[in-house]
Amino acid sequence: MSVQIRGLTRRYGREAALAGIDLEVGDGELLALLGPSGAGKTTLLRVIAGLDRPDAGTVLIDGRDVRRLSPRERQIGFVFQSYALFRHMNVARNIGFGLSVKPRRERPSRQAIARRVEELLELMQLSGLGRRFPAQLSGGQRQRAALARALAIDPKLLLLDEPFGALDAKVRAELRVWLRDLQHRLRLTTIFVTHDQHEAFQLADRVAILNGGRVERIGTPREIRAHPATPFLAEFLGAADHAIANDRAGPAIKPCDPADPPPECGSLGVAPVAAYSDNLPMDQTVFDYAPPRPSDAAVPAAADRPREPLSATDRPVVSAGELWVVELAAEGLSRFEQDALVSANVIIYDRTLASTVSAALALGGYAEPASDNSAERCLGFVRDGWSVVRVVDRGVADFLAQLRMLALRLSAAGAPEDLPVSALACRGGADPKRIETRLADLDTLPEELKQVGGRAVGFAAFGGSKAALPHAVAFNGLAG
Amino acid sequence: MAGEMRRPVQALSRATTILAALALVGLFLILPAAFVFTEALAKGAAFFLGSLAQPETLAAIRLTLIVAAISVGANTIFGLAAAWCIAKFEFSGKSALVTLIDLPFSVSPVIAGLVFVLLFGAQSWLGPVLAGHGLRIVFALPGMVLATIFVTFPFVARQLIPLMREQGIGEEEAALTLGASGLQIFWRVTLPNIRWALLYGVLLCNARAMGEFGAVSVVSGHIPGVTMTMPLQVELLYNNYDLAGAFAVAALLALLALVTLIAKAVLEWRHGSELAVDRPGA
Amino acid sequence: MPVTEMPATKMPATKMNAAAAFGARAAERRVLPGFAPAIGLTLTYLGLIIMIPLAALMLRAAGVGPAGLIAILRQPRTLAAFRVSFGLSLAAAAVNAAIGLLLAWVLARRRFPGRRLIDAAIDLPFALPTAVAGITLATLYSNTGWLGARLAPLGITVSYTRLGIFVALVFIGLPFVVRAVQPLIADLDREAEDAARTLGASDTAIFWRVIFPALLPGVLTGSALAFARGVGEYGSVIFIAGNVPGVSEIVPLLIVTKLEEFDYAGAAAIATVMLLASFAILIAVNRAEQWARQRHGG
Repeated sequence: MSVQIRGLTRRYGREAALAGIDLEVGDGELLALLGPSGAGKTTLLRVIAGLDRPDAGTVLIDGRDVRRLSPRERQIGFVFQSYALFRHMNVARNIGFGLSVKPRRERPSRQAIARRVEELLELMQLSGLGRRFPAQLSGGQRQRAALARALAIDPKLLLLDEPFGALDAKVRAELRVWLRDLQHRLRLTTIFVTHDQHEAFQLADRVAILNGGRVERIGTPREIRAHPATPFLAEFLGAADHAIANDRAGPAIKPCDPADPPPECGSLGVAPVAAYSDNLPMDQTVFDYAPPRPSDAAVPAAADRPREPLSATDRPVVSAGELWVVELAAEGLSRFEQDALVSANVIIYDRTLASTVSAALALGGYAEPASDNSAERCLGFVRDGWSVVRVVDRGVADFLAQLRMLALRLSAAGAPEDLPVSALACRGGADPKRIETRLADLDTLPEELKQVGGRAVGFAAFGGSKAALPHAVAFNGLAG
Repeated sequence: MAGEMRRPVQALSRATTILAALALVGLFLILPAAFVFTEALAKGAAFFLGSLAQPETLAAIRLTLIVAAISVGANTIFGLAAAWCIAKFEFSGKSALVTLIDLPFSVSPVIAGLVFVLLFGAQSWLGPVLAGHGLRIVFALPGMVLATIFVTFPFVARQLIPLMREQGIGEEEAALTLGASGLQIFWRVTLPNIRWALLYGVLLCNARAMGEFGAVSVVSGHIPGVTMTMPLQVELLYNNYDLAGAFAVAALLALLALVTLIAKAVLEWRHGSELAVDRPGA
Repeated sequence: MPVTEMPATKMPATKMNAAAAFGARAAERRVLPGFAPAIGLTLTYLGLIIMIPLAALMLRAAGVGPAGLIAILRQPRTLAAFRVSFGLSLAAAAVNAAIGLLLAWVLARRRFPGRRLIDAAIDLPFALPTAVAGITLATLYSNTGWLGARLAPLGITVSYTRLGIFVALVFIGLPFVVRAVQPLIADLDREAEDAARTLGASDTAIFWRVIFPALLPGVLTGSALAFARGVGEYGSVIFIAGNVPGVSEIVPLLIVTKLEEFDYAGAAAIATVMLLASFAILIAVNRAEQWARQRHGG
């Protein structure tokens, strides 16, 4: 179900909560509405749901003007910020509510409802809790129950208002991944409101940043990161030290002209820009970066970019939650984009692999000067936008030292305790022996590397050699 | 040290205040309440029951029950409707409406009866019209019901409005998004959330309705066996110097009051959080 | 959420209904169903039960004309009744303020066996039907009654005198102040009391200068309610009062008497004045309470 919004306006007295919103959400897309409080995100969501009526503008759901439709006619599922679970019904009845109030003709039998409730309880990992009452559930459980309730009626559009706002960090992190996975599986068009940019960038296919009732910027997380476009955005995205916000630096990547893409243009339509400010001390750079997520397949169809689907045969992908092991060929940015870097925190690479480097830089929006005579360097991209540190790769011991530094830096920057650090070993495809030596070195120190500075470390590896893969797999205990 | 010396004085003054309070309550409140029952049973239980079994008394009891049932029923529906629109919607004039609902508390019950006599009585404008159709409102059941409704209608609404306001519209909105109709929302989502406050309000409303004297007295015409409620019967018996009889009926009413108080206390104790109690009269 | 009072610009005529009358903009926004029937029922009910009857009262009183009204009110009997009702209610409210404060304090701050019971008993005057209270008080305080007999040797006659009216009014007004003050006591800032203590204030000083100002709004509210109740009270009072015109006749009784004499105009006039006086006093006390709340920093 797609959603089109044109010129939506909603005023409260003199103030405009929405001042002309134009927005499109594609079928199956996960869109985040991001912005400071008072930006109008919740108002917009409620207007889409039909819980609030706008002063002007149109909302089209699947091409239909829904202004006259009540919420129940719009076939939406809404999860409220406070969950709004019915306090006097147990979880099972909460979930089955939407089905039990259908008009008699459409209403499923009691058994059918009970079955659906069971299904959803299992889907939401709430099995066995059906008879409990909302007051007896934890925050995360209530959240999932509210979601189950919204999903029970098979909505075509899912709306979430700060779904994880009231939960603690750990639960939040878990639920994010889980939600993304769920949304993916269900291919359900979803719009969610958040004020947490990390959450937005991590989860969403596209992010719409609202400010003062207007859409300041809308695009994929990568685009927005690379191109803050306005001072508000730059500030909002936390770019105080932001290299990109630095005017002298200029944009580090630029969108390719679709009519005439330059050779270094990748499949996502961006190309690195060589020039960069060389005044900034590189290893003190703090850089917010949210890497692309696994499912780039969800990029809206409106953007006509060619997509390269993952093919299982020559690119085995193994994942364990946040960790990815992907085998890549050495050449080409396109392969590189195949999600390998998603969860990596640190990239250790062999500088002989030039294209790998530039790819890494492009994704990070960070362009390495073309000539550099210093020692081999590796750029680390840290997931969840915490920091980019340059890790000098001079062997395992140095690698270890760099990892420790990274862990310390993460702590100093206030990263949550359970934020894992994963090291991606970048290696050139040309010299298998060299690669294997390196990895073999790492093999001998698994325990130390697994815990650095109190943080768990995982490994991912990519490169041209299939031979390297088993090492990495074994190392991470990712058998099978 | 001054602090040390103060302790016995403090203790004494504390004890004094407690005793004073207890004496006051005992003298002013508990004594009269107990007195009703002792007087009622002064001539023995058999006499007590015999008084109650008098046909006029029985008629009074029946009439009281009818009047109360109708009044409480109507006021409950009104209370639910008023609380629904006041608590779940925004509209201009809301605060005026809420003030209006509190009006009966500022009006003497006698005036409550008076207004209906003025409106429907023989000398009123509508009087001849009604007489022409053979309808009697004043000096008949309808008038008594109207007067009772006037006096008691805030009770249910006042219990529900603050609670429903507190509860907000989140659950109702959620039910709306899930496809429930207005009636379904009210019945399955709102009502369960307010059931204890509703019961509480109904209890208070009923106690007041059954015990109402001034308003009903003005409107009833005191027709024995026809328009005499229990409180009116008490007055009649008392004025006829039938003290034991008067207190017998009074004891029944007092019993009702006690049961109401106990039920109130139980509700507050077990479901206090779901009541958002607006203390009566406050 | 402020209600936007914008003129109804685009609403088709069919949508102009009772609901829309309460702010057209707001009507367009109402998403939850059931507003129209609920407000319709509420207003109809209020209209029939309250507005129309009260209007009838005002009309009847107005029908006498201002000169007639003044004439009725200036009758000595009427004036005396007003003096009795308002004067004694005021006195009773004042006494209740003191007693109520004491009771509320003891109940909130002291522990003793039976506290719960006493607390519940406070509601007795409110729950007990007025006729029952009336005959009980009358009998208790009559010269042969349990309390009356003990007071007679002291030269105190309660029943059939104004003192009797006063006692009855104190009885029925008792719960108001207690219940109004109790929540305020619960909300008291204990630390402020402790601070005062550390600064050397005596208990009395603490009470009057730290605690009492916070409770004043409740005392005022409760007293006002007790007063309003007392002025209009009928059942509890007429049995114990002498009901002697000019001496111990209360206004409600005067109204009833007028009715029985078919002097509807007179009854309406007195009732209207009584209503207006009660409202005026209530509003005044409301203001005073707000002032007290603001002064104290609520």
